[in-house]
Amino acid sequence: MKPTAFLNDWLLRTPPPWKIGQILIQPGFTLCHQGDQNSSETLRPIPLEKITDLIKTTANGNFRPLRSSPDLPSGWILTPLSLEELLLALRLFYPSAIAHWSAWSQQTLRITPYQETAERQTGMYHCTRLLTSEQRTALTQSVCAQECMKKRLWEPADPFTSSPQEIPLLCAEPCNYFIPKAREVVKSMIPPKKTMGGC
Amino acid sequence: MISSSTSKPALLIVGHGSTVNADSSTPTYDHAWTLRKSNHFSEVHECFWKEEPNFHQCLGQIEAETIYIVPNFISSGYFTEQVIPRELELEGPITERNDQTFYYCEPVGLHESMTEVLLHRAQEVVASSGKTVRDPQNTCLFIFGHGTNLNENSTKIIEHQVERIRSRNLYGECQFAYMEEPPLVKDWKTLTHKPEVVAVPFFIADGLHSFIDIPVLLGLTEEGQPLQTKNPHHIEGRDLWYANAIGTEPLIADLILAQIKKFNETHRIS
Repeated sequence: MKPTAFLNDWLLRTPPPWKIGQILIQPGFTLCHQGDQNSSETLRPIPLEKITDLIKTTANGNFRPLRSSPDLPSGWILTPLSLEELLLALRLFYPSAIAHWSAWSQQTLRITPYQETAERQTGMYHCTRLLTSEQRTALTQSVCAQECMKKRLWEPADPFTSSPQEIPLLCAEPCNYFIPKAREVVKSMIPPKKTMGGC
Repeated sequence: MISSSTSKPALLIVGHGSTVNADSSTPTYDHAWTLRKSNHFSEVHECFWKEEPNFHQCLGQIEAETIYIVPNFISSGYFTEQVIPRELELEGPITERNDQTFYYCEPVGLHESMTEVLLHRAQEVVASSGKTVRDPQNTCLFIFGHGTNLNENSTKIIEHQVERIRSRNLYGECQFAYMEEPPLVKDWKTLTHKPEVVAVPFFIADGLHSFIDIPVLLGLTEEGQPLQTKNPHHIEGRDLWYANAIGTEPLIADLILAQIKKFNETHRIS
């Protein structure tokens, strides 16, 4: 089942309201920040096109390189949305989330281990294959656990059980925010003036 | 507003993005919105090297059977020839996998119509200042690039565009200059003696280079200081118009369609 059909099927058989990340989905469809669910009359209606501005910065104006970081600005509302528009909106807020959840539920999600992603890297990221498993675990604690709401499915995986009315944010592969952090760790281990593995 | 037709192809625009600069992905998002409204595609997706969705994870979102992939890059090189095919697991221009067909088009910057986009941006930066160039034949149009030994294709494409613009005789001079290799942007005052100068940075987004580095090299501002003055900048008796990065030009959306048309013609796809 493709993501649109999977989402539609789930919405039909799951009582509202629904949740994903920091967003609340209500019938209609209406989207707002979960923190705004009791103040819908004061929210600023935004068109779909404004999502791409909204997702880029925190309320303080800081850049959000990770779309799943727990600092999505509040104060907006999107309504009414068709199913296709809902899917597009969710894709922009949380890229790949519906596709991953759909594939995971159907046991077809491809989970890529860290080493496989690292082995694929070329150029300046070639050296990320040298990250040890201990360093990787430490990095997931300092980066993933602190900065991202996704549940990590690659090792070391997060404990995870899905909630009936919530679409989970799943991490199927070390992302391109994590890989540069891995490079920094590997680089810090290499003595000055010695080049190794493309670092 | 958004077509749900499954018979139309999908479009995937591939951008670079950034982990530090919010503006880097803006042109790719903007062109995606333009093309969603065009109704040519059942779905329009974007993916990024440095942001989400990343190249390797984006394809699971696409439901159409036919997918055109267009790199929103100004030239071919490491990303378009190695990274994108590797991450999207492409086998060549045409890849068939799991009931889907992927058509991998050339990057937007390589299309011949980029010449029109550059000329439009040059004209527009002058018009939006409320001024006009007194004499186009006494004006120099500069195309600025990064210049690097890592990828000579990016300089080749700029020089090719400069040749095409020169052949039209619209400006008295058309020159290229680079940040990191001769002819250098910082030498613009001696590279041309024309009293009026229009400069277009050949970058995909308004990032560090086009927004900060080049204005410093041009002498429009100092290191660490934001650009305060407006076009035209009056420098030593000359007028200089400095445009936004070419990749922010809305006409780039047309180049994405043009690259798809060119792909279809090249590969005889109806």
